[in-house]
Amino acid sequence: MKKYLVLAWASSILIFLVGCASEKLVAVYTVPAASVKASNLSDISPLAIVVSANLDGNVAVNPAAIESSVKQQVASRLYQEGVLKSTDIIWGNLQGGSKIASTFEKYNSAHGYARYVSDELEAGTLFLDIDATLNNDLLKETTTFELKWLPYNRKERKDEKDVPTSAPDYDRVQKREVEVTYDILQTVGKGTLKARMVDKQGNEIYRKSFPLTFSRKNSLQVHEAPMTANDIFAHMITQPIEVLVKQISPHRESRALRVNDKGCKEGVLLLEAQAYAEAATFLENIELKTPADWENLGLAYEILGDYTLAREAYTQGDCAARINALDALEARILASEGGRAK
Amino acid sequence: MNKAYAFCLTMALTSVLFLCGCANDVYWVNLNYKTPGNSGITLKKDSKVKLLAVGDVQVAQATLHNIARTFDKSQNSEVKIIFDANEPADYYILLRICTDFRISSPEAVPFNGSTRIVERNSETSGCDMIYTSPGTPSVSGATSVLGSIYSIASLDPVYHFEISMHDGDFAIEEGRLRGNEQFVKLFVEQISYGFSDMFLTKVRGISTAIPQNIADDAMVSALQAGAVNDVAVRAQALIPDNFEEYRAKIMAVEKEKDRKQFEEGLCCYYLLALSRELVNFDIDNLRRLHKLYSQIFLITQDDGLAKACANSLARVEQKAQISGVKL
Repeated sequence: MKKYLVLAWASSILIFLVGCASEKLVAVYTVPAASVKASNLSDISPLAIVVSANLDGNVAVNPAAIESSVKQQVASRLYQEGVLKSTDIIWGNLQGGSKIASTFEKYNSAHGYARYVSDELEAGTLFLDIDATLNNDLLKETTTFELKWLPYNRKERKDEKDVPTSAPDYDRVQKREVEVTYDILQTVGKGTLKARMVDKQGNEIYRKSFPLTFSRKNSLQVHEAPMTANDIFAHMITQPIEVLVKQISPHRESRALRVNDKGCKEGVLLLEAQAYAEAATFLENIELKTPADWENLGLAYEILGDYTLAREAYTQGDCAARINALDALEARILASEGGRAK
Repeated sequence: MNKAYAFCLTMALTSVLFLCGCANDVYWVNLNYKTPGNSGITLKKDSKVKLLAVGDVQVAQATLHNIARTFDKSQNSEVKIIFDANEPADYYILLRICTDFRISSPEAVPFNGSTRIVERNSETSGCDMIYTSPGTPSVSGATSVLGSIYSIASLDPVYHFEISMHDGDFAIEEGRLRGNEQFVKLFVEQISYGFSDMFLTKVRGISTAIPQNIADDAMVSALQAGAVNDVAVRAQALIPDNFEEYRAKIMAVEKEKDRKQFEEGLCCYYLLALSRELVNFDIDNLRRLHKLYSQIFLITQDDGLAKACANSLARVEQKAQISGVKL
C-alpha cells in the first residue's frame, strides 16, 4: 500500500514539474514616480543635487567625500532610469576640476549637462541632508567552547620495532566546557537622510525622511578588517537611494509573465528562448490562432513594450486577467499625468 | 490497486521520458563571439577619446594610463586614447574617483583581535586550546568611480557608469600590510577591467545551442576552435553555396516526411551562420543572420534545430537591443 502511495506521490510531483516547465518571462515597464506627478517633471528637470553631510562618531570621515559619493550615486541612478535628468557638477579636487574646465573651455562650451544649468533657478533642486554617526565598538561577548583532550596509546610498529608511535584512544576522550569572554569588533552606523525637492519656482514638491542603518559584527567565524568610512556609508545609503529614486523619478519595474504552453509549439519555443521580436512576427503570421496563440502574441508585444498591440491580442484571446493587468499599469500612468502635485 | 499502480508507473515513466526527451534535443557549447562592450555604447570608428579624471590624483592618474594600455592591448584600433588637452577629440570620458584608505591607528589595533580553538598535539595526547590573538594592524580601502562619456559633437552625456569596490586585510593573516600603492594597483586593475568590459569590443564566450543528432562534428569542432575558415571550407563540401536554392528545393518536396533528408544540410547552414556571427557584429550582418535563422526555424522539422535557431534568434535580438537597433 505504502509503495503505491509513494509512486502516486512521485508521479504527481513529476507531472507537476512538467506542468511548471512553462517558462517565466520578464517584462519591464516604465512606471511613474511614486510621489511626484509626471506633470511636475518638466519643472524639476534637470535636477540639481545638493548634499550636505553632518557626520560624527569614532570612524574618521571626510564629509566632502561622502557628499560627492552620495551625489554620484543619486545622479547615476537617475541616469539609469533614463527620464529625469540631473545636473552634472564637477566635484573632486580643485586641480582636476580646473583641468576639466579648461579643457571644455577650448570648445567654448560647458560640458554635458552643465550647459542646462547656466541659470540654476531654471532647474529643480534636490536637497539631501545627512546626519549620521559611524562607530567601531569593541564589545565583550561570552561563549562556551567545548574543549577536548584525547590521549594517545603507545604502539610499536611491527616492521620497525625501534620506532615508537601512538594512536588516538577515542574511548578515553575527555570533554569539558569552558566559558570564554572575548573582544569582538562591531561597526554601527545610524542616521537620517532628509530629502527635500523644490521645483524651479521654489515650491516644495517632495519631502521625506529615510532612516540610515548599518551594522556588521565580526564573529568567531568571520573576522574582517574594519571598513573604511566611505564603504560603511555606501552600505547605509544604497537602499534609501533606491527608494528615493523610485519616489521622485519614473523608473523601471519588472513583472514575471508565464508563457501559455497550450499555444503552437513554435511560438512557445521562441518565447521560451526569449526571441520576442521573432515570436511576435511568427505568431502574427499564423492564420488560425487559438486563444493561447493570441495570449502568447500579447505577451511578446507586452515584453517588447507595445501595449496597444498587446491589448489587441489579449482582447482577441479573451485574456481578461492580462487586460486587467495592463489597465492597472495604464491607470498608474494616467493618475501620474492627471494633475500637478501640491 | 494494480490498475492505479500501473497508471502511476506509466505516468511517472512518461514524465521522465518527456523530460529526458526535452533535454536531449540540443547540447550546449561555449562559442567565442566578437561582441561590443556590455554598455552598448559603440564609440565610432577611428574616433579620438580624451580621458580625464578628477578626484584622488594617485588613483586617477594610474587609472588613466592603465585604461590606455588596456585599449592598446586589446588591439581595438577603432578608437585612440589621447591625453593632450590641445588635441581635438570626438569623445570625452570623465572619471570621478573617490577613494578612501584606512590604516588602523594604535587605538584601533585592539579592535582586530580574534579568539578561536586550536588543536595541539604531542607524542602522548592531543588537546584543544583557546587561542586569543592580540590585536594586529589592519588596512582597508574602498573606491568608487562615476564615469561619464560625452560626445563632443552634441555635448550630451552618452553614458554614465559606476564601478565601486573595497578590500581589506590584517597583518597577522597577510604577513605584511599592503600599502596605498598596492591598493591603488588593485583598484586600478579592476576599474580598467570594468571599463574594458563596458566599452571594448572583445571576444566573449556565450553558451550556444547545437542540434543534438544532425550537427556535423567537424563543423562544431571548428566553431569551438574559432576556425571560421575551416567551417566555411567544410560547409562547401556539404551544402550548396546558395541557401535560397536549397530552401526552394526543400519546399518543392510535397510530403513533409520526405523533407527530413534535408535536415543535416539545414543544420550546416545554421552552423555556417554561427561562424559568421562569431566574427562580425555589424548590424547589417546581424539582420542577415536573423533572417537566415528565422528561415531555418520555419522550415526545419528537427526539434533540436528549431530550439537552436530560437536560441540564436534570441541572442541576435539581444545584441541588436544592446546596440539600440531594431532588426
